[in-house]
Amino acid sequence: MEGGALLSDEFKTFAQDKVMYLNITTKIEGRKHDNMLGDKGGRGFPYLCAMSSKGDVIAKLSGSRDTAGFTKMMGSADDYVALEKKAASGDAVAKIDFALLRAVLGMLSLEQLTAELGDTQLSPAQTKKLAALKTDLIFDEAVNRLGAEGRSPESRKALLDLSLKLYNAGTHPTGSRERRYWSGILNYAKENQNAQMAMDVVRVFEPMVAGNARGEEWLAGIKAEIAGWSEEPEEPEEEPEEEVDEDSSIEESCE
Amino acid sequence: MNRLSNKALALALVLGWAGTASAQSMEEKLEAKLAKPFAKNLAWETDYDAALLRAKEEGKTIFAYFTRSYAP
Repeated sequence: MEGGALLSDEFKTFAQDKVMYLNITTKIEGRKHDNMLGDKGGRGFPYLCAMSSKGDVIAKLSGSRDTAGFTKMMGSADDYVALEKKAASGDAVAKIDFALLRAVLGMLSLEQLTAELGDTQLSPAQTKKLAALKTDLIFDEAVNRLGAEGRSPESRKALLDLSLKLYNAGTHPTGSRERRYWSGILNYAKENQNAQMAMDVVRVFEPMVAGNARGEEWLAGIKAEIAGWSEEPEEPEEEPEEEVDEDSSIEESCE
Repeated sequence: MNRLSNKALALALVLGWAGTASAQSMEEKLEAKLAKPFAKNLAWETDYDAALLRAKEEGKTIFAYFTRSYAP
């Protein structure tokens, strides 16, 4: 990216109406803001996001690491700013949407969101969004517990139990959680040779790995494995009964 | 006792030197990062507080890029 997208002329044009902030983690002791990545929701390098003038992360990169992806991310940031203004002006619908958006971005916990919404009547679309959001936040909590508890057997079991509960209810976590969630379901399906469950995972991963040779190869291997489960188990060959030639045995006995 | 003190002093000097050398090395890596063409391609704001202030004053959103200098 540093040798390509960030050097392009279109990136220079893109940068003109934005504040371009570069944070370099150096591990130099005492350096101000040297360890900001985690505070801003980053889990690894490189990390790109859009921030407000208050320092809130108002959009994260979900597309490609090029000017097209950056433009999409900054478009989401502009949507955030517009919604914030609308909510501040007293628009009731915008207030709810803004609360939901802040929860999506991790600014509000599920508890805070519930408190903020109170008894507000939600539209069908908002109800649907809230349900999906709750699933995501509950899953995030289980994942965070897993990390905090050093992947203890209890926290791993809790995450698996939750994943299976969500799977059976047909409410699946979205966004960046998808890979972890579906990988957990796949592992369970493989352990239990549950072909239907495993095929559900395959259908989710298929578009994700499309065009990626290694990913496609991996998925083909999974499919072959699943096909192996559904084959009828081979019946053990029965030992043929020994044919006894009664005449010869009589002959032998007479010899 | 005296010999032990000398050894401790020598060890402290070595560790101190190693610490300084390591810090310098990190500084150099930061300089090398900032000298890369992408960093010079446009006027990046590297001061967080200054970036927030500019965003507020100019009514702009911030495009933030997080990278590191201590590893490739």
